[in-house]
Amino acid sequence: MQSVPSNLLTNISGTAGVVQISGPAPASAALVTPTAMASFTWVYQATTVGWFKFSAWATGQDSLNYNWINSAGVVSNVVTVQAPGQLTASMAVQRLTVSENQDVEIHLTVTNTGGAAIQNIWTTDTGTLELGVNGSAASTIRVAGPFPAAPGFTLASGASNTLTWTYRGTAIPGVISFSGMAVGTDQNTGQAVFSNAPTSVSVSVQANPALMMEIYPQPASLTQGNVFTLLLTVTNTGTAGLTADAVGVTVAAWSRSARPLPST
Amino acid sequence: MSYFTFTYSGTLLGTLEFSTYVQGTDQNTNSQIQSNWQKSNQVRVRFEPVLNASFNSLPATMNTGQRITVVMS
Repeated sequence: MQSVPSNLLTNISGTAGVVQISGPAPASAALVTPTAMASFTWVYQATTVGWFKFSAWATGQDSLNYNWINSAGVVSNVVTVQAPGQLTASMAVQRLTVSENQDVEIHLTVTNTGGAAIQNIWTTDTGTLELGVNGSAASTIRVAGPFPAAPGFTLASGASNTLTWTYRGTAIPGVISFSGMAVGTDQNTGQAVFSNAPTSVSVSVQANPALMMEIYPQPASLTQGNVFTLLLTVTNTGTAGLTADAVGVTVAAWSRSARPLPST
Repeated sequence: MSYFTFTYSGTLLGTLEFSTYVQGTDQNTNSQIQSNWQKSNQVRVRFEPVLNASFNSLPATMNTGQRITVVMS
């Protein structure tokens, strides 16, 4: 018996766009012996998002009596067509200035802005845990991170994940910025998906603040019962900003009267 | 030459063959005349063919631009 498949192209239902690339191959097959089987292959390509399914049947002609015989109709499972997965990355730093040896947190947010889920996402293309450090890189060390600790996560469409590193700048004065990216695997195609490679704004590493103070009683000599002024000169000899919150004055033996200086 | 036609219907699976002879009467002598036995070729009785079709399992999701192979067996 000759078995000829029906034309699948006329039996696609759904909302997705699908075009036939080739098939059926073979165009027909002879099923001579009982339980003989033949397979017919088509190749289709999805063009727009949505869903589709195939329905088809096979038809053949009895070689003895030349009657046409149809199989029962068969329906495929539903296939959902998605836009490819796409990774978008952005970076943010906790603060723009840090003091020498002060830690700063860097946040890398990865978002799947495409349709297909992306699996096994790493935050660098080299598989290391380090971010790229620009500027005073040699004197910048990774203290911790990334957190969450385990890369290789999955992002569904629209989902995002923020990873946090802690770095420490040890050179002054220094200017550092950080760069990173994400790479994963498209769940549908198995192909690698790379994000953009954002660079953070610069972080300034400043010398630690240092307080130097001088005290000037005026007048230098006085009589008991006189009111006098105590002048305190406070200087920040570092480069990092400093806020003087309070000043304590201790006067030995005599009565005392002191007020905090205004903040500088 | 004359033709005699018989119609049979196969009811069970298997093979069969037909054998027959022809007998006649001489019009002049009224004597009976019989041909030799003749066997037909064998005939095989089989089921009506039935076609069953099925699709391979297709991926649940795919991307635009991606190709898919559909197999019907």
